Amino acid sequence: MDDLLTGIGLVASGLGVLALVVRARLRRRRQKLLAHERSRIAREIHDSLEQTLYAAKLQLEVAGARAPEPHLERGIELIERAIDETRAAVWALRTGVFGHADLATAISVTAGDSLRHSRVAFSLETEGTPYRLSGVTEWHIGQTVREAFTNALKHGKPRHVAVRLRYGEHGVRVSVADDGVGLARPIDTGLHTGHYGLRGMRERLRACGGDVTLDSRPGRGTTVRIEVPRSSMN
Amino acid sequence: MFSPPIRILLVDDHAVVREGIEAVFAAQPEFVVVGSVGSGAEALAAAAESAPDVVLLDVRMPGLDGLAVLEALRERHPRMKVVMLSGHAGDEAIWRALSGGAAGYLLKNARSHALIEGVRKAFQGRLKPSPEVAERLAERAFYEPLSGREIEVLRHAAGGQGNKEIGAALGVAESTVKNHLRSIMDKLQVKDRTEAVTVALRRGVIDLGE
Repeated sequence: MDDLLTGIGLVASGLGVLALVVRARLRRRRQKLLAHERSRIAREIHDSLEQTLYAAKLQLEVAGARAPEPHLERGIELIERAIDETRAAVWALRTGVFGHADLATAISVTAGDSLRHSRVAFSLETEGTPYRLSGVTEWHIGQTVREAFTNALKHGKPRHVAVRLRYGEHGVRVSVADDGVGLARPIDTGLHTGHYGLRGMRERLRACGGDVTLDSRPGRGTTVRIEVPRSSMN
Repeated sequence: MFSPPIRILLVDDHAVVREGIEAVFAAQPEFVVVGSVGSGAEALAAAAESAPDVVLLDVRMPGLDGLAVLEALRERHPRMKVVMLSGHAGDEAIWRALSGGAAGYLLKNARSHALIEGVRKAFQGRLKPSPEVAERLAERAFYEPLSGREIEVLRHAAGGQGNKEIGAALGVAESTVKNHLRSIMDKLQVKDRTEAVTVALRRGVIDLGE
């Protein structure tokens, strides 16, 4: 009798283990399919949308060279933004960095990426109870922070970059402060090179209901402040 | 006073992009587009036939990709100037192109005047990298290059395969794959395999798009 019970017990636990193995295998399979699908979508966006946008931009530039016209120029700038956003979407799809990771993790990853080869120290301080914003909004915040890092390295000669991430009742505030040389006047590194300055940052954030300000004085470092309302949470 | 126009061959698998670039150069009497083809194989045939001065070559193409075409062109037509055109700006891809003999590397966000200036400079000798390209290129100096085998392992890892599967695919033991991955993470200066894949994709060490 005891033997029988032990036998049944063994079979049952064996089945349990089997179910776990099968479930793990299914989960791996699903993850792989998902990764495959994401990569396929990324490839399609890159192969069609991004290329067509670039082609459209060139055509408009030819037209603009023939007959200069401010609205045409603005249209070209917007297409350049669209190309940049397309690239970011492709990037996000391929790596899945954003989407899974919360804002604090995304900012840390971005900092590691941007500051890896500099001697600049980085700190991140989070206040309040974290909550998620929409993926696009988080992405725009991440890109703005990245741009702030790039600008700090390029213009500021800082030793330290401090990021503060504050989750408030009505929205998220992020400040990126460096202790570099500061700026004589606000920079706008131009849309033409694909490196957006303040104007590009502002357009990004206004698109999700937020805004960005730049505070900088010679000798006092530079602080980029980002503010995004919680209502942009989807 | 009149020098003959600079002869350009366009190679890109996207017809609309070729059309756009053609429109840019058609407006410039200094240049003539002598060919416009959509694949690496066609590029080699067209280069032999129409003897361009400058080939504007897309890096990422199905089949024979831009880097393979570059290699063949350098071998068969050493005087021909090849300018790479790419949406991808990883330091590794740029380095491979320039060390493979490309006269320049332009990004697919370049304004039309940058394309024109780029082809002109390449024709005269070599095109200085744009600040964006130079910045990416400089990054490579910080990393030790991966071996061919390591790149293969990483490519499989990027496809979501586990060590065992990678080992089976490459015909090596799982422990060997583990060793490769440790060396890869070391060289890429990262802590885990996900980060290794992310960094490798960004730098153009591997490319999931092909």
